[in-house]
Amino acid sequence: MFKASEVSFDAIGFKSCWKGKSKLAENGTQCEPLKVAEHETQTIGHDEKESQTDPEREVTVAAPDAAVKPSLVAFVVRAAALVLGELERADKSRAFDGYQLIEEDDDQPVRRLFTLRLGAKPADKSQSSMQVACLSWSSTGSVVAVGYGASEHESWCEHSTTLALWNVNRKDLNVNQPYNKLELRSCVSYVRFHPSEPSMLAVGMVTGEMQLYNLSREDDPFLGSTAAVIQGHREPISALHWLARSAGYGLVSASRDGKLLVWKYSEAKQQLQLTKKFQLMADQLPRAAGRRAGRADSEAGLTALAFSHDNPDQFLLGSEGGGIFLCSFASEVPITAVTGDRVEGLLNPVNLHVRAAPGPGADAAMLPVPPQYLRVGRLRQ
Amino acid sequence: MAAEVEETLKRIQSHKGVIGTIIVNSEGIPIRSTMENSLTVQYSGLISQLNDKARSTVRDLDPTNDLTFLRIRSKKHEIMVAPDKEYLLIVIQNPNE
Repeated sequence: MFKASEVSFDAIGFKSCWKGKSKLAENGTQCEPLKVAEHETQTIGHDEKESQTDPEREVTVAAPDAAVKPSLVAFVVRAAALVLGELERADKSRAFDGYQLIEEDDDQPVRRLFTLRLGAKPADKSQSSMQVACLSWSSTGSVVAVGYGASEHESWCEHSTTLALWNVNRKDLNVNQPYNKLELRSCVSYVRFHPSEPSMLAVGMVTGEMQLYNLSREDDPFLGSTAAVIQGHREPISALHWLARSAGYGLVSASRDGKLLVWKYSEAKQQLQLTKKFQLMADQLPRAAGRRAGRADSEAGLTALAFSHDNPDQFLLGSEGGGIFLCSFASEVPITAVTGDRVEGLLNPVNLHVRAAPGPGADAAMLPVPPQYLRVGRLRQ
Repeated sequence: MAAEVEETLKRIQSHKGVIGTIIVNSEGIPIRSTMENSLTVQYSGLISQLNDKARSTVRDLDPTNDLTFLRIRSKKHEIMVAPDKEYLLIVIQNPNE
C-alpha cells in the first residue's frame, strides 16, 4: 500500500502559541563592607556620700505608773507650798493695778496730726470745686501756706481764691479756720516760702502772674507782682525758686510756656523786675517722648524745677514731654529763629539732656549728694 | 505616795487661772504634766535652760546665795518656777482672768 520510498520520516513540529522559552540571565550582588568602630569609656573616679537623719530623741512624759521616788514626793510637797503661796500673793498683789499693756499700734511710722480745712463746710458751690493746688512750709516749720485752685480751667481763669495760712504750733490752732487769708484774683498754681526768712512768700498763679508777700506786714503784706511785665509768663506757673542773693530778693520762675525767668525785687519801685530769660525749645525734647510738635521752634512747657545744692548755678528742668534737662544759669547760647516778640534776649539754658521717659513729668527734686536726682512722673491718663 | 503627788498637783491646778503644771527632772525631761505632750516638752526644755541661767546668775553675784523662785510675766501668761537640786516645778497661770 505504502511504498517505502514515498514515506518521509521527518519530524514535524509546530511552535506552541502560549508557551515560550523562559529567558535566563545571570546577575550577582554583594553588600558593601560593614563599618565597625569600637569605643571605650570609663568613669574617672567616683565618690560616695551618705546621709542620715540623726535619730530624734523622743522625749515623752514618763508614764504616771513609773516608780515614784520619795525625793520626788518631798520636793513636790515643798515646791507646791511655795507655788501656792506665790499664787495667793499674785491674786492679792496690787503691783500690776492700772498696768496697761503697751499697744503695738504705737509703732506706726506715720501719724496724722491735723486735718486743715478752709471752712467748716463748703460754703458755696464755687468753693466746693476748689482743690488744694499747692502748699509750702515756712522756714521755721510752723506756718503752712495752702493755695487753692479749681481742678480744671476751660478758658481764662476767673475764679477768685484765697491763700490760707495756718500756724500749727499755736495753741489756738483752729483746723477749720486759717489764722490769715490772702485774697487773690485767680487760682494758685505754686506757693513757696523763702528758705531763710519766714515771712516772705511767693505765689504763682494760673494766669502766669507772680506775687510777692511779706507776711510780717500786718496792714498790707502785698509787695509786688509781675502782672504788668509784658514779657512775663502767660501760662500757669509750675515752679518757683528763691535765689540766695546778697541784697534784695531774687526769684526764678518756670512755667508751662517753656520760659524760665529770673526776677529781682526792687524795693524802690515796689515791683519785680526781669533780669534774665531762658526758654526751653521743643526741638530739644527727645524723639522718644512721642511728642509730635507742629513747629520745631515752638516751646516746650516746663513742669518742674530743682536746684543743685552744691552749685547754685545748676538746676534741673522737667518738661511736659517727660524730658529732664540739666541746665545752668551761665549759659549764653541764644535761641535762634524765634518768631514774634520772643526774640530778645532769650537764652538756651540746656547743658546736657539727662534722661527721657515717656509721660509728663510732674515734679523733680535734687538730692544734696551730687549728681543724683529724683524724678516723680505722672502717667498719661 | 503617788497619790500624794497627784493630789498636790491637782490642788495647784485647781487654783484660779492656772493653765498647766509640769514637773521636770534634772535632765530636762518632764515627769508629770497636766498639759499636752508637745507643749510640755517645749516648756520643760526652755524653762530648764532659763532656770540654769538664772541660778548661775544669782550664784555668780553672791556665791552664798541661791535661786529660790523664778517668775516670768509675759503678755499672756505668768510662768512660776520653783527649782530644786533634782527637780523643777513649773506652773503656768493666766493672771488676767
